[in-house]
Amino acid sequence: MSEHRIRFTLNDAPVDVTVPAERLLLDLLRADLGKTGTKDGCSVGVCGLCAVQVDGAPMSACLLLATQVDGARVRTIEGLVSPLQDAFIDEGGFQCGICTSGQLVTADALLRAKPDATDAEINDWQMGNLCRCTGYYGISRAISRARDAK
Amino acid sequence: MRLEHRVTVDAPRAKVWSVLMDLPVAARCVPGTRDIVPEGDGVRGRLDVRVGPIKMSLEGTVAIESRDEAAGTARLRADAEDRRLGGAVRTFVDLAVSGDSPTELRLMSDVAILGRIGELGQPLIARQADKVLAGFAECLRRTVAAR
Amino acid sequence: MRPFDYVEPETLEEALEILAADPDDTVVMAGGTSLVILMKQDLVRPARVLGLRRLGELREIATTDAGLGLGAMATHGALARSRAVRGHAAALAATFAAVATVRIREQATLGGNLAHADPAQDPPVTLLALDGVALARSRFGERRIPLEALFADLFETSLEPGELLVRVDIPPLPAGARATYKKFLPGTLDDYATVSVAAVVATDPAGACVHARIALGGAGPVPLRAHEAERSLVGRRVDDAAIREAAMLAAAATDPIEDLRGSADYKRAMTAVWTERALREVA
Repeated sequence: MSEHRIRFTLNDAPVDVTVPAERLLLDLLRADLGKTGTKDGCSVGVCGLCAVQVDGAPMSACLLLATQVDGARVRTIEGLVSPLQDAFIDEGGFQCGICTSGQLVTADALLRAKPDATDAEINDWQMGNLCRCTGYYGISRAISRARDAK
Repeated sequence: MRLEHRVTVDAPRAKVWSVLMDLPVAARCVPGTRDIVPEGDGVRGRLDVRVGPIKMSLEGTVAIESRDEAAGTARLRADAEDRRLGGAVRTFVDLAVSGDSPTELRLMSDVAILGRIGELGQPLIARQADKVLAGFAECLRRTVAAR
Repeated sequence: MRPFDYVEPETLEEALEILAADPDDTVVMAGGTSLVILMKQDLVRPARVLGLRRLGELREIATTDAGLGLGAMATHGALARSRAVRGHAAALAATFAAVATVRIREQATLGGNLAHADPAQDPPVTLLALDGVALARSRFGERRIPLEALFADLFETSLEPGELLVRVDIPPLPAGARATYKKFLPGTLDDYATVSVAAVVATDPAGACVHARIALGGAGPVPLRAHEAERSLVGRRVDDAAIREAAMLAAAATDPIEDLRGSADYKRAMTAVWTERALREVA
């Protein structure tokens, strides 16, 4: 019923849009802003497919109202530049790719906050990003490798 | 799910029985009911119940399926649905009165939750059903005592 | 999701006015992790959502002489990282770090968690064991609510319409007190606890217990203090026998809700096991 003008940066570029109160960030990104790299998975914030960075912190876009990022810096997979991407290729960190955006966005947030994260900290942080294909070892190795490359 | 409630009323058995069989009066004893009107042999009305932040509004009927005054037993049937949330509740309540001043009333309820309301989770529903029935039993006790 | 009116006041006073004007049809949103799910599933249909995200004053975490003050809008992630929280009790920081996943911890708040009142949540258990007191504000004033009195029933608090949780105050721990939080997660690591135990024990130079707190999660319709178990420890050495007795008393104090995580009997039995483990750590 209410509409709100929100202004935020998306992958370092300004966004200025008006949205209805009930618009989810995930739908705004995918449907309105053409950023389909963020995936729609479980819809209850458990699977990690919709992970985005809000002011550097990983969050589930499916649980955020678009109004909640007014004034924030949002980063999606489209705005990621990181040794993680090569590391995932080299270490077999993905197969079907559906969880990969979320894995990368989440891991990137960790390595920016804690460049020296230990393997245990990496696994703990990534615990909320589910993968049906890889069995997780490739993902873990890739993130450790990216950490060591920095 | 099955729930059982017992309440002891300091009143003659005949009085307890007559209140129970007077559905418009007995129905008003269910906490959260409103707009009770007689319909056929039973009553129609609305039951508002809350589970945490979730509000349910069940609309439906209560009727006496069978009764045996001599034995002091009866079976009530309640059918209600929440069209907004999508779901329905069907309950059979087997009543039994025993003793006489004091009179013991036993309610054995079989509550079936259908549709979306059921998705809220059995534990949650069971607690609410339990509270509603406990409130009903207590209110009946007071209503009879006041007559 | 159904349309609704969204308001985001800039001050607490404004928020309280809005809430007081229409408490029945206004739902408060803190982080939104629980509320948005309920709204997406159409189980909660507010006419108005009151967003608290601009109330920076509610995010403060501070240590004073009176102890530790945790703002209701502080996120679990911020609380887990906070030096003030870790300085008060490592177990408290560890409790916030145990919540769900990193994404939830960065969005969900202490106040939202308490107001949601799920007995299997982590923070209430440790906060109960630390004698936490909630501060609620309304347009008419302030109310201090010891946490044990805040949780009324499954998913229900004793907050009155028009009241907002603004802070949780935690008094200083007795000298030398040790605290721990144990979360039993037989399923997945991102889940709520099947059962959980927070224990705080302080002993005198002779080794006799002078202070005991045992709080239980997943053990009933609300997070519980195991008062009898606590009393059984005070005045005696916290040895094997004392621990076993306290664990049994803690289990006896439970009234677990049967669900996917286990039957009532199972949760009761696990309460004894994990109370014992918690007490061994702080004995």
